Amino acid sequence: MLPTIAFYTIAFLLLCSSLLTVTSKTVVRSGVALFFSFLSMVALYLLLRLEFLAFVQLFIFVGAISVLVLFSLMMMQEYGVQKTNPLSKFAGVGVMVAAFVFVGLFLFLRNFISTVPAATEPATDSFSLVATSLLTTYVFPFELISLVLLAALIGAVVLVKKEEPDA
Amino acid sequence: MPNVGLLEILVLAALLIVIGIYGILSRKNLLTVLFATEILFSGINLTFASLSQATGTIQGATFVFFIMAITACETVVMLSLVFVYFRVTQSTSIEKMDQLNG
Repeated sequence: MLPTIAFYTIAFLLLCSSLLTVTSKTVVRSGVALFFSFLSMVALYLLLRLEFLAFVQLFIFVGAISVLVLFSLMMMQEYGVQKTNPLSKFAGVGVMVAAFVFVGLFLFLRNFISTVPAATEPATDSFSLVATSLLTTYVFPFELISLVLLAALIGAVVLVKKEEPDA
Repeated sequence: MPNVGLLEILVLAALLIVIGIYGILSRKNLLTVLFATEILFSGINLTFASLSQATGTIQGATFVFFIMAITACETVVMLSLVFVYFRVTQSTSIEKMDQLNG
């Protein structure tokens, strides 16, 4: 009984904060709502007993990305424009596409759910399992990710750097 | 997860994906579009993670780890692009991005 109540509470918080992110009137409110959305995802991963993913989500998204987002919001407002977050003229199209996709996904999921093979044994101790799989089967993508992160880091610095007048 | 079915979690993930799609299509501000893609990625991650949990395999969770790393890269590069755009035009509105309109 307890996991059910916890799940629905977390799902409610997650959906509310996600909806607030895409509907609120100012960008700063959107950013703060996004922070709570990330936090609810951490709780959801913990409820699913995926501790590794919960901690990765906590460190990367709640810790780093949210701070980065709020910091860049601050940087952009320092120049003094565009605090509002208006709806575009495609809002109606957005609702229609979203409803269409949801109905499609739901119909697909209802048939798909019976084809999922049941767990032979529940995945426990997800830290050591994920770590083993990262360092054996997926060691090449794991190393490649560091290269991608380095490229993103250098790319971001080069993009934002102010150009020298005449170097 | 003894009491909550897989269908509920997958429907929650589908709702997150749908909210992300709505946000991408309906907002004028570049930053909110970026936030909406984050929510969409959350839904995709949740799908992978819950199916990985339900089938007792770990590949899905590993894949979520890679998606998270790529998402972090994407967010950083996108934010710096928005910042450069903001420095040029003093605005983060999508409506004004019509320099290439012939």
